[in-house]
Amino acid sequence: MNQRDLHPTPPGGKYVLPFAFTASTRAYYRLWLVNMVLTIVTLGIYSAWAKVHTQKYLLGHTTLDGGRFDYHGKPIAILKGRLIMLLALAAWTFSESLPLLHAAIALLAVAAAPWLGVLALRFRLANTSWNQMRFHFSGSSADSYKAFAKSWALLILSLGLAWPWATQVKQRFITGHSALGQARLQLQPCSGALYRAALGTALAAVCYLLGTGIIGGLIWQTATLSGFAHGIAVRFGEAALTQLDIVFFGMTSALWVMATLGYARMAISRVLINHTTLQLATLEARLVWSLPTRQMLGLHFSNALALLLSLGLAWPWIRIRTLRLQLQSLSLLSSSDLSALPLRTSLNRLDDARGDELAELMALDLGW
Amino acid sequence: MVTIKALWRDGKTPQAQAANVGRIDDELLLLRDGRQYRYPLADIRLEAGVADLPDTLQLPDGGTLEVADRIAIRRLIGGLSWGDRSGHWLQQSWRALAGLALLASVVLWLGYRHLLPLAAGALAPLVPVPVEQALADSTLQWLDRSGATGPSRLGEARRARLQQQLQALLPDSRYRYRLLLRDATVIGPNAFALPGGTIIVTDQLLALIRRDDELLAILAHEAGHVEARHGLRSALQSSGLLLALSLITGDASSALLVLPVSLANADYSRAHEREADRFAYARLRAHGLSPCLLGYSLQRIEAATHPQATTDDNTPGSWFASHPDTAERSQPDGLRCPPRPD
Repeated sequence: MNQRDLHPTPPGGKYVLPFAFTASTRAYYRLWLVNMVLTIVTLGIYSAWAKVHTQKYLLGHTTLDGGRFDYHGKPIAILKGRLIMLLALAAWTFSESLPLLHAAIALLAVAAAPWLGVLALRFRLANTSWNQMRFHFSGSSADSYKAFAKSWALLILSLGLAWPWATQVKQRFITGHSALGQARLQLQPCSGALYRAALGTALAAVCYLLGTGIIGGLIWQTATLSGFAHGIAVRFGEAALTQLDIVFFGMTSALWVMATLGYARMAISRVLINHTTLQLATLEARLVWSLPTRQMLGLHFSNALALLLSLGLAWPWIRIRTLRLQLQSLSLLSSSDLSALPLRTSLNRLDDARGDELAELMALDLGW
Repeated sequence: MVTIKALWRDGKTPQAQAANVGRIDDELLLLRDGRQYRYPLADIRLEAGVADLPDTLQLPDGGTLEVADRIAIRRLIGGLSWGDRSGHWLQQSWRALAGLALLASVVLWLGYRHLLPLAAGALAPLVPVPVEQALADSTLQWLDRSGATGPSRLGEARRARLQQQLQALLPDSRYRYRLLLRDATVIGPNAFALPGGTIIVTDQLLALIRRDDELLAILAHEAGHVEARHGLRSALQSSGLLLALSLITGDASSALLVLPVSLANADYSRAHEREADRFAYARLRAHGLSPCLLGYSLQRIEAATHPQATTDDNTPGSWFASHPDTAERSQPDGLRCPPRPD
């Protein structure tokens, strides 16, 4: 795999180091099935192992310049995190009838978010490697609180209008404290591009609304004209038909929201990734993600449609094809090859998944 | 000594170097650059390759060995951890996967049918009665503010009488029942229970059912919900279900779970209705009243709300319906009732 030829000196002194994704849909389907079955049989305990296997499989089939990525998180650490997450969720559910306690828990969650974010990133990066070199996150909790406070203040004071700027503040903290070996990652200023991405998302939302509206309307019309709806009303009663309509409408709207959010996430990460650089002494590299918007729209819309029509069973296929398309168009434009990135610390082992799990639960937008 | 081909990396630079590994007693032997390195086996961690990926050995000095021949290296090191082994076994054999899938569906069914309701039933009584009452008060306020219900325009005398009769029907209840009347044209003739002993009856229901004993049967059914704490239990069951489903499907989006969760909630709701029905039958019997009264009043409600509905007795209930059908509920414990007096 890594018996690379020396790169010939490229024109303009820049190397284009490509990313590649070699996972197969078949193998991933099987992994997904095995994970699901074992998680059920073990009443959820296996889900930690499932996560490790999935991460190892997907990262292991992602390569940069022929070198494999890998995941090293330990299942027990993840399991501990999940248990704590479960307790937090139970406290949240149980306090629903006690508004004061409920509010206190929400406040605590918001207050802990920057700290949990740091824990999550530390665990995730320390357990991710490229060519067996570990990534490393060096951000401190204090810095995290500063960055988050600034980001939230910007958001609130501008009534959400400064959202791209706030995102940039937060992401600069995250990217700027990430490292591979001694090479530091940096996020270059990009609020203008983020504003354009937000506009594009608004446009995509309208397109998706038309699309889901037309398809949903067609299905609804077909059901009405073919007498299917009438049949249900006669057999099970009007109430059943109304409920079916509500569920159908709910699922269609959920799909619309999902597709729009998916687009937003992708448009934003495209900007962030394209402004991410890697620096070490004389080495200067920058990530280039050249996925055309048209292709992105098509991908998301077909994904949403496949999910709807397969009742969710197409999920593994969607995951693989999305990753493949995303990674195929990603590359690292570098002033030299990466053969001499020395590692910062000899061992960055961190076996605490609590941050990771709690951050996932609260859908903390941590990027990366 | 047998040696296995491997790729060695120092963990500090990305370059890989061809190497050979072997084993002598409790030590791993690494041959590279024409030199020998020894590591105690106890300090080495084997990370199994998932699916078609190679295995990785983590060496104590931070170096790693990538081994494509997984069978040979696992034999050399002495096996995988339990979790890895089970995953790999299933990854190899379709038959094992099919068998386990069958077991999984049994576990899923048992968990859904028995375990989750049991757990919710065990947790719900932990919530003290005053908390339940506070919960009911906030729901009531919300209802009145939303405009769905307005102040009642009907008889206070009948309300007080019914409340007294209901409390008499339930002599050893831990709740003090509170009967409230509300005008609700949108909701129509209906009664619903809030946690902590509050029962709301709409003016429309009061006007529709003139006989007190039939209305009492409805109230006994609602009291069944209160006594069994169905409100809390459904909340617990549906959040437990959502949690379990998102754990099982792993990274799949939760929007996909709308359909299964709403189907399951409707199913749990029908089970609660049946439980409340049985409670009502028993309380009515204990006070020398006919359990048929509940069916009579339900028939009246149905006739008023669905005048065109067929009275076909064997239509199966919908999967989405929150209540069992009235024909089933008009036969307490399979009993055939005499025709309704008009």
